[in-house]
Amino acid sequence: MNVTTAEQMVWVMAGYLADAEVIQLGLSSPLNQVAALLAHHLADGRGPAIEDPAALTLTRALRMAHFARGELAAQCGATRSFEAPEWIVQMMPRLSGRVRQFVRPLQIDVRGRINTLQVRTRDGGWRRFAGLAGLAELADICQPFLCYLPRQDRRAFVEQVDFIVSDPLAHHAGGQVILVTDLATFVMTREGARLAARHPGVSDQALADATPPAVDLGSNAHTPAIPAEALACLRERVDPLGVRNLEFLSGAERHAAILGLAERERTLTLD
Amino acid sequence: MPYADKTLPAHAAAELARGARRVALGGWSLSRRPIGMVWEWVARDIRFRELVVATGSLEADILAAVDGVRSIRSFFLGIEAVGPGPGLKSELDVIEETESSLTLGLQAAAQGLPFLPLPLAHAEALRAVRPDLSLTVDPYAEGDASQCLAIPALPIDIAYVHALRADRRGNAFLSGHKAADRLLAHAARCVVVSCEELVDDLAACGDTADLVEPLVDHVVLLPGGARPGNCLPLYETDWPVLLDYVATDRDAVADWVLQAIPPPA
Repeated sequence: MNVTTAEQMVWVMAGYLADAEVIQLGLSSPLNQVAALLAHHLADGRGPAIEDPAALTLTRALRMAHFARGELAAQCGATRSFEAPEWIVQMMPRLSGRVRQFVRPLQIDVRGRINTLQVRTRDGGWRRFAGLAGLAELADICQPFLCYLPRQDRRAFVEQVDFIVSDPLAHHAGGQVILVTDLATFVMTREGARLAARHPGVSDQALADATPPAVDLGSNAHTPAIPAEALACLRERVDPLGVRNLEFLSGAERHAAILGLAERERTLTLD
Repeated sequence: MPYADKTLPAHAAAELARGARRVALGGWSLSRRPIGMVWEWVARDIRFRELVVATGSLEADILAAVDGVRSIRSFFLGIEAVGPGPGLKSELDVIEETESSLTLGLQAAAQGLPFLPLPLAHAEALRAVRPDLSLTVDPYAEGDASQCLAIPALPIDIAYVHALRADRRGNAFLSGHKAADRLLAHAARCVVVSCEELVDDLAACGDTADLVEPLVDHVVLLPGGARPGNCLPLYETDWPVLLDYVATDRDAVADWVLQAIPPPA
């Protein structure tokens, strides 16, 4: 049974999410959504509660991953639907240390600092987006701070980011930033960055080519294989439509995948 | 107070934004965005200075592409998984906010306060790109934690909110994602509710109003007014149309809007 990169990443990510009290799904984060729902299913709904920004709900409903009909799916079986101000300035501060969410940075450096979207300015330059989608708040309340990169390379995983949107370790002396990529899992602390475990089949050379030199690659640990039961749960119950694959596609392939998901989801009954 | 019929044609409601300093659009990502108003603005070449959106999506992209606004204030820009379109990929002035700072600015405006404090720990990146924001001190705290960023009130000239159902007096039921629409309305001097269904008495329909009549100045019947986004439970997001939009050249966006989006009924 061949395990795909997406499945490997989702399995690792689910492990980091499972200990939380609340998981935030984030907007447009297919891998985070699938990993969160896998953790939720594997705990038979008795694990973390799920906050879904597609409808801003808190839910324990055991549901499958969605792409095109996320708002409807988020409403199914939800405990409560929040207004945005209530969740942002009243709920999130109370969840400090109890909430987790994987975020996808544009860049992450060896000190765990990240940036995200960049926009073009009227003078022709580029500007990072400082407060994107709750990152400032997450950096304060989430520990460990969780990141993922579907494609690890030297442009995304760098010695030093050129603009800091979040510095999750700045206010957490003993804190950790966890980075899960298509190649491996890394841990960043104030003491430095190190390889935690490499995924099956990843060579020393491939890892070295895509990792900043300051990262300690000395570990021989390998990512544990996903158990057959968990893989079946992922493929059959959590993500039968393959939402997890979206983040690995671009251009025409991604376009076709979005249309395919929208069409397949359209035929599903949601209640 | 006598019964007030606040209904207005869409084009008249859209004109209220012409030349305004700050206009807010309700909804969240692709949910209940007042795209019908955007259609009117594009059709009538109505421009204003600043757009405020909690999550900037198709509506922000279109307005950026047609130069309908001078700047966009938000903490999120992007059309979900289809990525930025021609507007957000082009040059634009963004007034960056965090989720907290935008919320606090609107809350300050809604409460008539000059500012609300945001702990500096939440806002260091924001401070780096927003030199206009001043520091203040919490007079009751000690040490470093006493420093805060003073988030100024963010009064809105006009807020446009799309509802599932409203009555002629302005009581409105939003349905689905509540977004930050009530706060936008509280922070606005003028509130326009567009709706899928117009009724005489919302309460008689069994709905509880999310926006109540003293808050709402105008009501516009605008069936399909959130397309190609969604307005649940009536219709869902039209992904093929969104994919078509993001592939459109910036110069062709105005024509695309008028042809691809159903005109307000």
